Order: sequence, then C-alpha cells, then structure tokens
Amino acid sequence: MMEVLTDAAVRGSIVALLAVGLTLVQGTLRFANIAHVEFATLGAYGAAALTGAGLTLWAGSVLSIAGVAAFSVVLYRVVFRRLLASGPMIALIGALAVGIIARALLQFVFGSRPLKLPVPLSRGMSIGDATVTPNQIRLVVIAVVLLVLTLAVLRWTQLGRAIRAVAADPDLAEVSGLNRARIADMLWLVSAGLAGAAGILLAMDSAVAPELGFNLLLPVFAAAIVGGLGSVAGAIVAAYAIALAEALILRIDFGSFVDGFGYIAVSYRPAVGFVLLVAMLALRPQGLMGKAVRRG
Amino acid sequence: MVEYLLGLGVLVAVYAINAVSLNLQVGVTGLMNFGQVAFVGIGGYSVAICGRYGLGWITGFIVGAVLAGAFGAAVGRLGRTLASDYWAIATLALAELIRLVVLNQDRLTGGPQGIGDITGVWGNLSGPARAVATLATVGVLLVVAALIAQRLTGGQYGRVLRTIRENQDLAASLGHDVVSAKIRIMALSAALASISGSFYAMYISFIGPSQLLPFATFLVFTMVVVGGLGNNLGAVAGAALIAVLYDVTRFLPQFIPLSADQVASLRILVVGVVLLAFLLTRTRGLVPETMRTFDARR
Repeated sequence: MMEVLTDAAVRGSIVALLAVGLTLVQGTLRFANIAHVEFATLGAYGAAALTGAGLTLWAGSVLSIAGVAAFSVVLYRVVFRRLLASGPMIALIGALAVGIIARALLQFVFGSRPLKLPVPLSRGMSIGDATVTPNQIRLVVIAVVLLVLTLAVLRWTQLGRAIRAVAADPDLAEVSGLNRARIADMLWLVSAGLAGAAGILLAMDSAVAPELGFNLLLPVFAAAIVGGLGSVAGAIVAAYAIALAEALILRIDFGSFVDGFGYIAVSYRPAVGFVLLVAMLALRPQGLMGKAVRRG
Repeated sequence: MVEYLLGLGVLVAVYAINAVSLNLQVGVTGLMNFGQVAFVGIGGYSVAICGRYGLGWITGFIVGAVLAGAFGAAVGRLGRTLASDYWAIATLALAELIRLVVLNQDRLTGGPQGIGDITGVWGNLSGPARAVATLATVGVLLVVAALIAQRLTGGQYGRVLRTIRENQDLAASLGHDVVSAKIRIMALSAALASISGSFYAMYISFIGPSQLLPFATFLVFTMVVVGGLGNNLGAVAGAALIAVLYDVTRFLPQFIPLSADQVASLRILVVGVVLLAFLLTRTRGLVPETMRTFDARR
C-alpha cells in the first residue's frame, strides 16, 4: 500500500506542476496550449546541457528554468499571440506545430538516446513495503514547495489578484486599469518556469529524452480539466488524484470479481489516464470542482 | 525513376483521401480531430486481419469502413457538447488508447511487430503494369471521395456544417440538428480515412503501431492547412505538396552527412516549420475556401 502512495506522490507532483501552468494560461488567455509540456522537456535538456558544460546541478537547473521562462515570453509574443489573433482553432493547430518543432529540434541536436543528469546514486530507504530514493523525496518536497508558493502568490499578492482579475473577465480587468500585456508575460514566466522545474525533477528521477514532456500531455490535460478550467487548487488536487488512480488500478486483482480477468498489464498504465480523461470530458466537461466558465 | 514516380503518385492519392476526410471535419465543420490516425489505423488493421483469415481485400475495406464509421459516429456522439480544444484532446486520447490496445493485443494485431505480408491489389499483374493499375485504382477512389466531399459541402448539408463551425448556437437556433449533423460527418469522414488506411497498408503490405503515432495525424493537418482549411480541392493540393516534400526529404543524407536520427528529426522539422509558417503568414492556405457572398444592399 505504501508503494501505491509513494508512486502517486512522485507522479502526482510532476503532473501537478505542469497542470498548474496549463490551467493558468488556459483560464486567462482561453488557449489550450498543447505545447505546454514541451517546456518540461526544454528545461530538462537545458539542465543537461549546462551541467554538461561544467555547472553544478543546482546552478544549471536554476539557469535552465530561467531560460525556459524567458523563452516562453518570446514564444508568446512572436508566435502564440499572432496565432491567437487568427482564432482559437488556428492557435490550437499552431501549438501542435510548435510542440512538434521543439521535439524535432531537440532530437536533432541531442539525439534520441536518453541523457542522464549528474545525480549522485544513493541507496533507497524502506518505508513500509516501498523503497524510496532520496531523489524522490527531494522531488516531492521541491514540487510541493513550488506549488504552495504559486498558490500563495495568486492569493495574496498584487500580481496574483491581477491575474485572477484577468482570468475572471479580461475586458473588465482592462478597463479597470490593469496592464493585460504585462500580466500575460508574467503568466508565461510562471507557468513555463514551473514546467521547466517539473521537467528537471522528472529527469533527475529518470532520464532526459525528447518524449519526456509529450508522454505527460494527456495526464496533465486530464488534471487541468478535472480540476476545472483556470482553477489552480483544483488542478493540484486532480493531479494527485489521477496519479493515485493510475497506481491503484494496476494493483487491483480483477480476477477476484470476474473469472477470467486478472491484473491489468502494466503496459496499459497510460491508458488509465486516457480513459479518465475521455470519461471526464464526456460526463463533466466543466470539471469536478469548476463552475461553468464562459468560454470563447 | 518511373517506378518511383508511380509510387509517389499512389502515396499522394492515399494522403489526399485522408486529407479530404480531415478537411471535412476540421476545415468545414470545425471539429478538431487530433486522433485522425485512429480511423486510418482501423482501416489498415481491418484489411490486414481479414487478409490473414483468408477474406478478400474488398471485405477488409468494407469491414474497416463500417468499423471506422461506427467509431466516428460514437466519437461524434460522445463529444457532442465539447468545445474545439477539448474535442482535440479527447480525440488525441482516444487515438493513443487505440494504439495502446493494438500494442498489447498481440494475438490479433501482432503487437509491436505489426502485421506484414498483406496481399496487395492486383496481385495477378507484375512490374509496371501492376504499378499503373494500382495508381489507377487509388486514383478512382480519390476521385470518388473528392466528388462525395464536393457534393456534400456544396449543398445544404455543407452550409449547415459551416454554420456549426462559425456559430453552433446559431445553427441550433435555425432549427438544425447539430448533434446529428456532427455524428453524420464524423461517420462519413472516418469511413473515408479508413479506406485511405486500408489502401496504404495493402500498398506497403505492412501495418504496425508505429504508423499510429500522433505524427501521422499531424502530417495530414499540415496538408489541410497548407491547402486551405475548408476547401476540398485545397486538401488534395496540400496533400500532393506535403506528401512529396515529406518523401523527397528521405534523400537528404545523399547530400548532407547526417545520422539516421538526425534525418528523421529533420524531416519532421521541415513539415512543422511549413505548417507554422502557413499558420502565421497565410492562414487561409494556398487555395482559400470560397464562401458564397451575399450583398445585403440588394
């Protein structure tokens, strides 16, 4: 049972960091950025390249996250803003194109063989029936700190209030004197920075590969949708819940209910997220906790 | 060289049928299907599996089209209330789900190895005669598909679909059955895509899960956008351009020394850049959609 929980904590943390950024941008700019998960891949490769050039893991990671955040603002101003001006459909296809270009570029430069970040190997500890590495503990702690920080900024700071105002009603926020362009920039900085951090944390626990972010696309969207459009707290809760569901379903022995069935094959693991996503969209597209938000 | 050009012609026609199908969904109706490859895969696997049990290829085509049509209708029904971004994510998830099932159900689908030795069309002919006959067959299929699409989009049903794309509530308020219109167009497009998939699997005599990756959908999106969203002729033109572009980049290593990995990523990169460039500078594509204009002053 402990293994289910630690598994869910690790995966949930990564999904949550990505889902928060996705839901912030989607809630504010009404833009479902399919390319969002590529910021994670970018961050991981940035850290791999910088540590390869001789920086320590910490310095390389921080620099890489800053780079990804800055890049996202440039990307928004040069590409996404122009795409959004042509309508939501064009923006959606454009985001798909940006994601494909990013993956192809990374594979062209770094090859498709996975890279390792310079993480010292360490012995795992036993908690109940689970084995946890110090790396995984670090991952969950850093992720939770970042998530709490994001929530605090949104709730209590001037910037957070401004973001929530724009999300609730962009036009009203504009006539109330808020600078929408500057707030959009800040949004991209925050959401891409969180995604970059998620990518590095995941790569420390596994490896850097071109598909690192893309493999998370569907669980991340599932978390954002289940959490409700634009709801940061909802996305976090949903991310951990989905990760828990994924870990649990693989450990249920269906043979004890129906003859002829057994455990679901581990290779079906991603399917859990897909099925949850489709079921969620079919049954409650406004999210579990979300209110119906005006769209368009 | 002639052999290569004939083969390229078959490839273009197969992609053109696929692009016409995607254009009916995305361009005409505004249904963002990011899982188009699922319909194509159903067609490919149907023809392969039917062939293994000794059923003829025509049976495989029909089984595939019926299965894909039913799946398309189910998607249309399931997603009837979804906005375009959620529709895109849901269809992507469904396509990935199908790929996972294909990967894991080895006994039926051959798992990761796929199914090879699919009997091709015109097996009783050989050499150039067979290549010409194959091209002619797929050419006829393309013409039929394009005519169906053209007749559909030019008529009342096409106007309803475009109204749904522009403003769903308006279409409903005018008394059109939006859900039924969506289900019907999904079923028809899925059947068309399945036929293109069946033919492709027969032509290369192989189908495997690697053909079901999301990139296959992305390639067809590029064709539709480059050609011009909402225009059937544009879909065919875009398919021709992008299919040729994607195929000739295979020969890059003859000019630049690159690893196999780099060639693969460079070919994808070229397609991605073309799509983004069109979206940013020529959103309406090479052959823009022509709308009936109406002068209100008259």
